[in-house]
Formats: sequence, C-alpha cells, structure tokens
Amino acid sequence: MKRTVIVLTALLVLQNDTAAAERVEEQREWTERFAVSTSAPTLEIHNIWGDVRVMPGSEGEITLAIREHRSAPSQALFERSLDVYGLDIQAGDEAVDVRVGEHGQSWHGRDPCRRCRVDFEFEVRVPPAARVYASTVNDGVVEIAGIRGQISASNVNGPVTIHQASACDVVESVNGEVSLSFATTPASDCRLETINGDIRLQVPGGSGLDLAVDLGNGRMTSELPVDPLAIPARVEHHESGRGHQYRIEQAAGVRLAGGGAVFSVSSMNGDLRITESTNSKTQ
Amino acid sequence: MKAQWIQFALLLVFAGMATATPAQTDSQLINIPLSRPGEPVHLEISIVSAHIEVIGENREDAQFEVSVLEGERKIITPSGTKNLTIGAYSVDIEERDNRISLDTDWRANSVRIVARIPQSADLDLETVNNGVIRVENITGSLSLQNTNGPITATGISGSVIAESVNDDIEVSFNRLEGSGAMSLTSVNGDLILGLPADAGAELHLDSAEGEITSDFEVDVVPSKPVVTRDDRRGGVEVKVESVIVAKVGGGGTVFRLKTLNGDVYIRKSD
Repeated sequence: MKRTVIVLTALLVLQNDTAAAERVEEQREWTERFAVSTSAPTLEIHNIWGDVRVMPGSEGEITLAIREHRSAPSQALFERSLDVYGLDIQAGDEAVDVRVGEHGQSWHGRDPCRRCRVDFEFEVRVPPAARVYASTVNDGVVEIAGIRGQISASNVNGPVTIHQASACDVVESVNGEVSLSFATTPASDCRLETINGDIRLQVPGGSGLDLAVDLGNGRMTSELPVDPLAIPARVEHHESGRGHQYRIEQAAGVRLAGGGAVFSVSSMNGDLRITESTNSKTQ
Repeated sequence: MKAQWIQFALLLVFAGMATATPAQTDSQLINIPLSRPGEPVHLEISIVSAHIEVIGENREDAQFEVSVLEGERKIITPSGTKNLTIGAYSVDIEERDNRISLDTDWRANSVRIVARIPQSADLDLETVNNGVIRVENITGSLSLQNTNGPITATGISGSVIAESVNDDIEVSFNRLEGSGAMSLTSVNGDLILGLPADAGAELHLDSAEGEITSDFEVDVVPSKPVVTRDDRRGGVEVKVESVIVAKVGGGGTVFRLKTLNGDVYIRKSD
C-alpha cells in the first residue's frame, strides 16, 4: 500500500487570551492519498461534526482532503479529545475506511470529552465506480456526486444530497432533507428515509420504478406520470421470553412507467417530490 | 317527467355512495400463541375509529383478522390528483403474559378487527367514531365504550360496563355469575338487556325521556331520589337522581341502566 501524506498548511494553534482563556483550539488542513488496485473500491467514511463530500476522481486512487478544527475547554481535555475524537483511517488495496472516533467505541450514556468538539470537513475523490458509505451526525451535509457504484449515506441533523447516482442502498436522515437524483434508471432496490424533512427523487423520464411510500404528514407530487400500485402489507414478528409482538405495515404504492426496482420511501414530517431529471439517459 | 327526475336523483345518490365508499385492504390473519395457554386472557383495544368484533372460542391461542379501510393518500401529478389504492399505516399487536393489546398509528382511518380468543377473557374495548363493538360468547369482565356507535354483546357471563353516547347498547347474558359491576349507559341510545329466563336481578332503571319495557314480571321497589352533595370545588353541587328499582325473579345481581333519550328493554335471553 502506498500512502502519501501531504500536509498542505502548517499547524495553526489558536490560543485565546480573553476571558475564555482556557479554551484550546487547533485548525489544520492536509491531504491523504491511498492507492487502490480495483476500479470499484469501497469507501466507508463516518464523521461526527461537519461535512462529507464525495466525488469522482482518478482511477487507482482515493484522495481525502481534510480540514480539521479541534477545540476543548482545557489542555487536558484537548489531549483527551485526540483519543476520543481521533481520526482513524484504515486503508487496503480495495477499501478505505475513515472514522472519527475510535473503532468500536460506544458512547451510550456518557460524554467522553465534555464540551470538546472536533469538526472535520472531508472532500473525498474516488474512482467513479466506487462503492460509498458516508455519514455524519451534526452540523454537516453529506453530498455525493457522480458516483456509479452503490451508495449508502446517512445524516442525523442535516441533509443528504446525492447527484447523478446509478444505484443506492440506504439514504437516510433524521432531521434533514434527503435528495437523490439518478443519472440512469435505478436498477436495484433502495430505501430513502427521514423523519423531519422532504424527500426529493429525480429520475430520467420513462424510468420504471415502484415506490412503497410511507408518509406521515406530507404530500406526494410527481412530474412524471404515475399509477396507483397495490403493495402487500408486511408483517413482522418478534418473539421474546416475555411474549410476542406483531407489526403490520402497509405502504402506499406508486408505479412509474411500468414499474421496476422498488424504492421504500418514508418521512414523518415531509413531502415526497418526484421530478424528471434533464441531461440524463435511461438504461 | 317527475319519475325521470326521481330516477336521476337516485342515480346521483348511488353514484355518490359508490365513490364515497372506501375500499378495504386485504385482511391480515395473525395467530398469536399465548404465554399461558389455557388460562384467561386480557384483551385491550383502543382505536379512534374501529369495527371491533371479539368472539370467544374453545381455543388456546388468539387469532386476529385485521383490515384497514382505504386511506386518503393522494399524489399530485401534472395530469391531476390521483387517489392511491391504499394509504400507509401500521398496526401493532402485542402479547405479554396473556395480555394482548392492539394499537394502530393515526393514519389507519378505520380498522376492522375480528379477534377469536379463548372464551375466558377480560375485555377492554374502546372506539369513538364510525365504530362498532360486537362481542360474542365471552366469560369475564367486560369494559366496552363506543361513543358514537352501537355496542352488542351476546352469550355473556361475567360483568359488563358498557357506555355509549349516541347509539344503542345490547347486552345479553346466558348466565349470571360473579359479583362484578353491571352498568349500561347511553345518552341518546336504547338499552337492551337480555337475562336468562330464571335470572334473579335487581334493576336500577333511569330513562328520563324513554319507555321501559320488560319481558319479565317485575316487582317495583319503592325508592327515594338519591341526593348527592359535592362541595369540593368551592361551591355546593347537589344532584338529585330518581331511579326505578325493579326486581326480577326475586332480585339478585344489581344492574344499573341509564339513558337520557332512549328506551330500555329487558328481554329474556334465548
């Protein structure tokens, strides 16, 4: 594995001498390059604060342009933040895995570095056929453009935007809009989900697609011709030592142009907007 | 000409009915094993708009047939607004320690539930609008509330508290046993109580505007108005209720039947 690290800017440490003198901050930018031996490598990138942007780059290489802004209320906590909110990159010939925080770390029920904050802005270039899993949590966007491989993307408090996709698996947010445009008619099933936000789906005219729609309070609009579709209810059963739970879930069905891959679409408080993409081709 | 107008009007009425009648989704049939087979169950259903039918059978599990009337989900397209065949919804059924509850999310406009459960069961059933509650062949403690629809319970033994505001209540016992509370209450509906021919009962009847009819010979017991005084809210509220107390078969289980604008019928159960 060839690994090249280029530090683009010098380390900038900002010591604030004012009333909040204790707060320690650091900002830096650099680029990491990883050689990959396949035309369809896997990128997995999970952020906590800040943006994740993925776009097509050169074959044989995954490049990360990283901007980090780290702050903590004291030097001691700043040092701790380096462990708690460190940048963990694992790279191989066919995959690059980027995580903020330690691998396998569980923060349930505790704050490991109180009032610490580490914003990472990632701009990642991957071979166009790469498979991408990208996520962030707070104060960031997840934006993926022009990737032909399968895409999974999630955000918690912000939007997910995917341009000119070919295939997706799961695209989700909690408090944000989910927007997905396809360069070609999607051929595989996908789930689009948010709680508080609109879902925008843009496909080439004439795309055959079936949608299983579960909207709470929103409305559906479509620029493309649609037909109602009867979708069978789904029954889930969970058994525990204390009893049984059954859930019957029924979605509203919409068919575009004779049907095709099945997209599950759900938003509690948002609309579904289906539009026709321009300058695209149908597979 | 007049006949043609009537035909036209009827056509419009039927056309309106055809479009207004919502379709129903395919039924989902779910069999639920019980934690303690052979022991009494407790069933709780509280849904705003529901047709609830509970049938007691000689069985050791519970079976639910659930369907939902079509929702009002629409999609707006350039050629106009289209109704979708089925609106989205979810229904949850949970069994824990022989207690079964059924709940829906708010999008399930009107749910139809047919529950087949062991005969020995306590029921807590409630609905509000466009609903029906029907119970058959159950032994246990029944609490039935349907604000704007009818309640019918037949082949019952045990205790029943049934309340409606705007519709009829019919409860028919095949035997009287136990000492639980018995009460049928409506505001604008009739009350129909069916008792075994050999029943002994004491009926407390209050029908302000309606008539009282009985298949049984009754002994009317002289009674005084009941005066209750409540001064907890800073003032004094005095309520005077005048009820007729009538004994059937020499008296026994106490039933309270109260309706404001409906009639009361005391029938002999078959």
